[in-house]
Amino acid sequence: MSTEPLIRLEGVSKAFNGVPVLHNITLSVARGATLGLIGAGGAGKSLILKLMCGLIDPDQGEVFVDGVHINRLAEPARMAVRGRIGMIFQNYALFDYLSVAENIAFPLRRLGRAAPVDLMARVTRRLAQVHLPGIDHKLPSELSGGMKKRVCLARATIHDPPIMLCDDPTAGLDPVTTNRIFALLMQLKAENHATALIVSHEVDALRGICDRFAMLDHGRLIFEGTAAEAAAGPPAVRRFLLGEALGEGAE
Amino acid sequence: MKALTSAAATLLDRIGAWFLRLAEVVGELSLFTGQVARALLRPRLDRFETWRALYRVGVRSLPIVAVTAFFAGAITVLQVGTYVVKLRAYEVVGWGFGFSVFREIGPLLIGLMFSGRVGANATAELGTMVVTEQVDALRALAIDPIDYLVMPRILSQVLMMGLLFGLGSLFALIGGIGTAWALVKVDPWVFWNSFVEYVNVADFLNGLIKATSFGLLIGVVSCAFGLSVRGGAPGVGRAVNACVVASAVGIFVFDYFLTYLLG
Repeated sequence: MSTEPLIRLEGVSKAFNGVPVLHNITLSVARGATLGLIGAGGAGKSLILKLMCGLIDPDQGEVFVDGVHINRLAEPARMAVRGRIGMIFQNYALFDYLSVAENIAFPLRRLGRAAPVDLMARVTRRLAQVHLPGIDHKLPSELSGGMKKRVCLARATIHDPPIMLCDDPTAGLDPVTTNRIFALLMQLKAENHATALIVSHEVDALRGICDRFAMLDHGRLIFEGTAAEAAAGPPAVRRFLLGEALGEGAE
Repeated sequence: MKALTSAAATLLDRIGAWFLRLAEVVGELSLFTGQVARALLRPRLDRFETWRALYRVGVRSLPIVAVTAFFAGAITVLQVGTYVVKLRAYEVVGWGFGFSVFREIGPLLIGLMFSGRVGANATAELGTMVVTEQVDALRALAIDPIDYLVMPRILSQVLMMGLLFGLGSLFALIGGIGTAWALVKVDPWVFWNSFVEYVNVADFLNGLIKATSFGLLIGVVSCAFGLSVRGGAPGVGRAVNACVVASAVGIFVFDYFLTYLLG
């Protein structure tokens, strides 16, 4: 596996309304690798994904995606980069006025990446792949949380993106559905030979699928390395991995 | 004296903040209008989204516009009727009705109703899409929200304001003739002859230009406020409120200048 980073953040800082959220983050994801991004709620994990996708610009620092300096591109040029990214949103972000099939077909139809004849066949195939056959006519409001997540996963990967950014893809799901979602993620990643960055609190599940981990604490990157290195890493990382609170005085 | 100076400073501070906020809104609207104008140069309308917008804006607005126009026509005749009866000038009632309804009352009232129904709806819909990250999802899927969400809404609002003005004029005419016959005791044929003799195509076109201009204004304002929502559900509420107020004020300002320009 090449170790050349496919995604790279260099000295990235971001504040909202004067409140710093990210402090001088330098982080990279190697081509073909799976990076697990962990940290307490509000640490800035989702923001990092949005920076990588070019949805938000950093106040300082640079973001590179496959060698392209995404935060210096104009919006139309960013579209070309985003076309190679599949992003799963924490709150699904399914288009609530479109049916499941229309949601999944949406990127292909809108970007003209599939002939109309092939479109529904691909959607049906992908729905079967995420174990949701026969729900193509339903609206997102008629689905359970786990089903929405899988539809979201199907939509994000229907165009076989080489980069997968997953923002808490199993939030609020039961352990069985959580394992199923992670298995699907890894299956689709393998099929597309993709690079993945997964934000999640399911540390045990991440251990089984991630090559490396990064941990954020109050907007600062406090650890980056393998699971074995994390076990011998800073106390704050060990505490998080063991589920202990990061209270006052914690490193 | 010190308290008075402090109160004056506070007042000045508030006025300054209000002007800054106004400048910010005008600046955001100008930038947004520039984005829309750029998108017009390379139109990439989504067929499904455009049909959906046309249906929702046009077909679903027809009942409320029909009722508004019917009563606008009827009220105009009631107002004119007082003088018509007093002066026995029955032959000008159709002209008075047509001139005021086509040129002013029709586009203005339909525009205000339209902004309250369609504009507020567009702001709420886009605002909800922003707070539920659906707009971010569009951008992440390499789809420009201006092309996909904004252009169909603006196009449908311009087209449907024109069409609804035409249909509304018909309902206003029915309301006007009915009221003239029932309450002012003017024979429908007298009303109709007066109408066709004195009211010409230019009067209708005048109203049509105003109506489509109001449609453009409502479209731009509603989409701009919708896409700039911040702060979750309360933010959506604030944006809808701001959209209705800005659209109503904008309609009157546009009307003033268009009336001056079109004569």
